[in-house]
Amino acid sequence: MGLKEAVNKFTDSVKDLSTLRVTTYTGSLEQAITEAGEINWDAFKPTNGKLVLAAATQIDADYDTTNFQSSDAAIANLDELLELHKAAIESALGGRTALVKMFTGLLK
Amino acid sequence: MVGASASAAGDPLAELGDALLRAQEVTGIAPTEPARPVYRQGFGPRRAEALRRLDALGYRGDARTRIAQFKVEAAIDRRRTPFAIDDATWAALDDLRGLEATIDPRRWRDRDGAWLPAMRRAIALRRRELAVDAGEPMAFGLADEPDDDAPPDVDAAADDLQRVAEALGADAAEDRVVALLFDEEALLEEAEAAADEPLAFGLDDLRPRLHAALHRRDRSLLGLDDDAGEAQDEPSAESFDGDGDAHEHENGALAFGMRDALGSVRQFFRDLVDLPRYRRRPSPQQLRVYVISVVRVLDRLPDVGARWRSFTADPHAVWQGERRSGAWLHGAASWLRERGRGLVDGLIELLEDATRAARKLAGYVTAIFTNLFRVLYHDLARVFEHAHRAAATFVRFTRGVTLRRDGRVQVALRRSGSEAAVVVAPTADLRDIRRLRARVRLDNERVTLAAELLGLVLGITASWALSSLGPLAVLSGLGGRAQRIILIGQRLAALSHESQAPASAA
Repeated sequence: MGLKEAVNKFTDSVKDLSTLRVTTYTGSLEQAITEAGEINWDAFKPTNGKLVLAAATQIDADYDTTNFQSSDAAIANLDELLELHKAAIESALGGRTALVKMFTGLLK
Repeated sequence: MVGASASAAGDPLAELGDALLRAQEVTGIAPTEPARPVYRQGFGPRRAEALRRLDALGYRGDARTRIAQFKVEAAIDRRRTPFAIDDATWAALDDLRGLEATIDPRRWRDRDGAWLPAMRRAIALRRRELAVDAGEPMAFGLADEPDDDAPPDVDAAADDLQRVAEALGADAAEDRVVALLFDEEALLEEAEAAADEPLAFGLDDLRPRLHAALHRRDRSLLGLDDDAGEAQDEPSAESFDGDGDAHEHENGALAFGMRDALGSVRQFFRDLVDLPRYRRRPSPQQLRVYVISVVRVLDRLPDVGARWRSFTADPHAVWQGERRSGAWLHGAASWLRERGRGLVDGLIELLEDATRAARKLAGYVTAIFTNLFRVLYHDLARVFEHAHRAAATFVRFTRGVTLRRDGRVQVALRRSGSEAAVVVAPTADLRDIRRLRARVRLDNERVTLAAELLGLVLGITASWALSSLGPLAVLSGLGGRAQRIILIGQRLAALSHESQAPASAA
């Protein structure tokens, strides 16, 4: 992936600032990750039976936040997964902040 | 000319790569080559200089063969960039052929303590360049290029060093001899002492004879050619009422201006070249401040674009003497400060005075520009390198993270649109999960810094009309923000190194 492609992909991801959604799953990755290492987003359906949702967070534009955290005792290392999920949320928000910072440079 | 570079800027962020390529094309500034370029860049001038240096060291064959063999012989990791002039390769070539290196002997020895083959070539070449074996004293001289095209004998390093040590009358300790071989400033200082007291040194000692050649080369690296040297030694300033004796003003402000131009400019160079107190090296922080002054000087002068093109057309001017020019600038700042002048106003005044006396002082004008340009060129090359690292960080962040163990994906983070997903395999253990968490947080810090850096660059490139971009716009734009960009880039590089350390991955 070159810079231009990454920029397009990234800016696409933040054009719609209305919603940010982060999900954390456990389960077989064979279906979820392609040979090329890309995620098969179609596999991320709670009904597919291969992946188990451990946590989900949705942040709306008005900062209304919806959280789901599994209490399924069968999920291994659940506490650690939830910490990882928090880090992923921070990362998603951080990415948006980064893009804003970049464009702030245009105004200086 | 690259087609993309001629396009007008649309989305400034999407066009960033094209703008930076165009900036490199119009200025001739060539950074080192990254392992995985994320946009097109112009590496030509640096690559050409690297190949010249490899040729001098006796490497033969096509460019890829020469580079690959040098990397093997210099113990440089070839896995990521086997044929590129990357940071490590350039640093190694600068050690061996830049002749301003403070050599770390441990870097250049193998596990058994023997000199690496690339170093053995360089030692042999320096022996030849220093004319250690010249039978007649008059035959001695520093050669810019080896007279003999035969490759250096890589098996003769011990003998080479022994001969050089004898000729310099230096302590036979190899490390000391090697340090002198590859640091011409240190060698010049030794030679100066020997020249002042020739009777204190042995008849076979090379240093008294070496002094004049090293001094000449030192002046050449400061941009003073032989003509300027001759002019410097003329009686001062008869064409300016004979009142150019700057010695009288040693402790007071110089009366700059037409009347004293010749004396002032000549005294300026005489002091900077000859007086040790003006030859001190600036700290990196001081040098950064000077670069801002350099940009302000260039912004106020005419014909900078033409002079820059002339400078970049001369590889000797560009690629040799970076450290010398930094020290020269530091000395210039001290010299002017002692006379109540700031660096910017003082340099402009000197340049204007020297330009008015064009016939006699043209060489000095060129010398001032050469030193200013050299400092700026290498600083902006670093700006391009940092900008690329920031862009690559941004691309990696967008791509997401996949961590494998035992050949299988254990944990992954991916982004798409306004969604992000983390997936954890049943085989993943606590260590895998923590590694991904640490990596995600680190990437977050890195992309924040990368965004700040790219924002600074975007603030400049967005104002460039790419089709009519000239050198001065690049020098002024990037130069004015260079120090902030480099500081952020250094923090980003530190985080990148941290992520490569085994401890941080755990």
